[in-house]
Amino acid sequence: MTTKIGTQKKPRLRRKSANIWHLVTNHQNMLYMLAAGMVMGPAGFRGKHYSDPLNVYPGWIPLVRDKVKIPADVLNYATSERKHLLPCIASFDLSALSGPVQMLSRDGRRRDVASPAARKSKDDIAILVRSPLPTTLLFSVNFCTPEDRQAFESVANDVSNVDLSSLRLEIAESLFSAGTEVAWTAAQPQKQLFEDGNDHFPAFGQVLGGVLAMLYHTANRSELGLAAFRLAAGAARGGDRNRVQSDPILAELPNWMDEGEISRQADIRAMLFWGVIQSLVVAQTQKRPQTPIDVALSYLENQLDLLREMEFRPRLERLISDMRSLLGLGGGTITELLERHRGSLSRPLLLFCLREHCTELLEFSHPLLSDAEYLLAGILFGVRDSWLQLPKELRDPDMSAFVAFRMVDAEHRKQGDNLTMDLPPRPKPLRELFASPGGEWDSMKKGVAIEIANKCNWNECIQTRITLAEGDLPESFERTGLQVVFPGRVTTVTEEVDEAKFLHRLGQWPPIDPQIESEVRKKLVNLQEIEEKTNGSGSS
Amino acid sequence: MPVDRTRRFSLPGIHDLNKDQDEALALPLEGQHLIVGGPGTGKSVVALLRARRLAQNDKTYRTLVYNHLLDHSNRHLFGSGQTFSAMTWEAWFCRLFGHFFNEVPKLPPKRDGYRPIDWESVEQQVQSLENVKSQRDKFIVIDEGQDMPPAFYRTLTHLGFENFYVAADQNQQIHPDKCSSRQDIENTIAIEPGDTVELKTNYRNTRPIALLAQHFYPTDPASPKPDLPDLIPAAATPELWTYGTANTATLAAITDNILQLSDRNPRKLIGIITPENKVRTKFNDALLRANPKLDNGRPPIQTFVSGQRELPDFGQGGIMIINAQSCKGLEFDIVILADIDQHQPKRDPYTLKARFYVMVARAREQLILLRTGNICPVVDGLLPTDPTILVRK
Repeated sequence: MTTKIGTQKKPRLRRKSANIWHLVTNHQNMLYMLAAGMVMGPAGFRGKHYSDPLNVYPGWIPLVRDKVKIPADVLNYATSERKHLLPCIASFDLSALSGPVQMLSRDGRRRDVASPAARKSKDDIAILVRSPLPTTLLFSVNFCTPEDRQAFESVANDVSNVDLSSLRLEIAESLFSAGTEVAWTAAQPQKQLFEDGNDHFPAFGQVLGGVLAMLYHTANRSELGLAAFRLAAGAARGGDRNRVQSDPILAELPNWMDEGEISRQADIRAMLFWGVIQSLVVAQTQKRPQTPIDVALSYLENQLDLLREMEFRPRLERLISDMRSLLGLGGGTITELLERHRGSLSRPLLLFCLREHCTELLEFSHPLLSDAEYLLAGILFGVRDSWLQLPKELRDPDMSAFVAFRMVDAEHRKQGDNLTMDLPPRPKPLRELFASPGGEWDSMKKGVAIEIANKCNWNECIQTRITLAEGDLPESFERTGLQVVFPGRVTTVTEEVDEAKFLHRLGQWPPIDPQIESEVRKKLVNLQEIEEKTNGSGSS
Repeated sequence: MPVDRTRRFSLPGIHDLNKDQDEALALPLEGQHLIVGGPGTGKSVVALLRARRLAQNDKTYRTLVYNHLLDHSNRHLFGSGQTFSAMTWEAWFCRLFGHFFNEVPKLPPKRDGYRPIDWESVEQQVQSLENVKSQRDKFIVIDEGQDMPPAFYRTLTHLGFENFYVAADQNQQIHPDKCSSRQDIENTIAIEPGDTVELKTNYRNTRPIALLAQHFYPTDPASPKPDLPDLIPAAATPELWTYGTANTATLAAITDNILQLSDRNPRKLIGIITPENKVRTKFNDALLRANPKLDNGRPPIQTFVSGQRELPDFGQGGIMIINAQSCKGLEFDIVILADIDQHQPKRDPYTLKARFYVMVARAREQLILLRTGNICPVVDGLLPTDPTILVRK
């Protein structure tokens, strides 16, 4: 029996069995991997991995071929650690994945093949794919019974960072009717066989995911934010690079996104800022990491002794001292602190001490903060929370798919793997969908803006223009409650949007309701496609 | 625009819950379950999540807590998305008993007028009942279950209740002579000792706060000593400030700083925990008098004393001043322990240490201790000397 729920986003599709591969795990590991946006080895779980087949091939993901009976030992092993674990089979569609994998045959032999689509013999029962894989390759998550699926959904409902809305959850009893003809040596991790496996915590990928998400969410706040997001997402437009270059620290964002490092010629402030970022990434790979603020402070204090630019020393000393006092009963208002510390190194670091999580930063605004300072604070927060910690409200499904791919791609590039996957479309912030080549909004975009403003009650963004009929114009009018009474006739009543105020509201947190966003996004995407066809430019 | 001070309870992330907490949450809705753990191990969180799940499954359930203040605080944590069916255990029990008999038998009034339940008479009456109807369609979630007497549990099982989810910590008993031990609860609601889920990792406090709490840990193996949390952002080593002496800050300067701390964190609730009413009033008055520069205007300042009808608002950031005896089970973003040198009983360091343990563990993110210049060897002797655990300012 096969049923599905919560699949409005994904219509039921028939997939070629040859492309479908199954990972046997338990419901808790599955939830963790969904939160992380990647299927990964035990090291990625930071001590919360429950034994499952991922233990057996460190650094590799064992996937059983579709239509092959899953060995009973494998199923048992996946739920052996604790009594509350439920078996769960994640089915992947690997048609979009290419690159070398290892093929496992029924008798335990393995051989290198060029891709999962390589020709198989009837004895080939599984492949080993280099870890990690993006959860976007998941075709479905399967349970043996409706009760197991319900328990899975209940746990997801109890936590902040698992979004099942775009996932296909199925009851597939037949997948769990285990076979006994295949031996499974699950008990001993096969480390000798996979010395190059090198299972590690995907710190850079996770951090990159957090940064991309924060840049996506801050892109609605300013043109600079939009430029930074496009640049980070590999889709820079004409003036984007120049805009981002206007701040010496932000200018290094593309280098860091590509290589995890910045240029040697970078400004001293950029060196310090990205040095903090690098320390935070390294700290995440430690078994017992320091708190992120302690990591940042230790890095900055070490740099004090190394600084050659003497004029920076007193400023950095003051900054460190104020950051420390914010962690205790130190005095001062935020305004006083921001006045005391100017610039795109100090202010983001102060915000790092003043607020704890990404959502809190998105809620925060202060007139003294520049766009660049806010964006750099967003990068710091994205690094601290990383993708794993982001709550559901920061996980837009299209953005999540894009980020999952980029996180995994970054990890594979670091490992020197040759796995390639189809890149999901880049998510576009709403602000980008309002942009027009000529700068002016056409009437249709204005109409969509008014629709959003009306639905969100952003009254300050709308003004109503009443054109009176020619003739004796009234010198005054009367207001009765919510009504305005004019003597004579009016010819037209039109609503106009104040674009600057509208864009300001669009950049504020909380974002507009997802339902409203989905409706207006469709309209804006259509409008943009028409515009691009008219102008002969392609979309990225 | 006025600043938004709304506090939010956020669900834990899947990575925040450890394997023991996963197990506690996965326990079947039906049956008898006991979860034990020290402060900050997430007992109350799992109890609230259990209540949420019962509500989502349309079950008839009731969450019971020790006092009105805890009930009120839990309501904020539960959120407004669903109806939270909760009461103080004593009020609920009196109502329940009324369904079977006329009125709950009570003992003669104490000095403060309070009349405790006469459990001996209650049990006699309940045992006289014949053909008690099963209450297996009802679900009881109990937070701080160590604070209810064993007779309470015995009576409920006699009255046909079968589904219990009890979260308890033996080290936090309010009145040890009238409370239930882990074994009392296990025996009464029929839990095999191996089935009790032990929560061992400190979930609420940052590592530096947990380190200080561990310093005051009363050694009782019935509730396992909490392991220290790993990575939690925004941690800071607790600070000890002396004020009011020749070379230290004045009370006015301290209260200015407290107001500015609140101003920088408008969504956070700062709990000032005082040893007794005199200190509570002193801080309340000083905060009301203070007038430092603020970005967001004066934060709400609330005070609560046991017996007060109007309960404080846990849903808004600001400052709440309460006495130590009311603080058990509560949680604040930032905790300031005021005038620690004034705590009693000074002749009983064990009890004093246990009190410090409970007070310290109320803080989620930041902890500040304040003391006057009075010499107090007993309290000084209790404090850690290691500056990596407590920084003296």
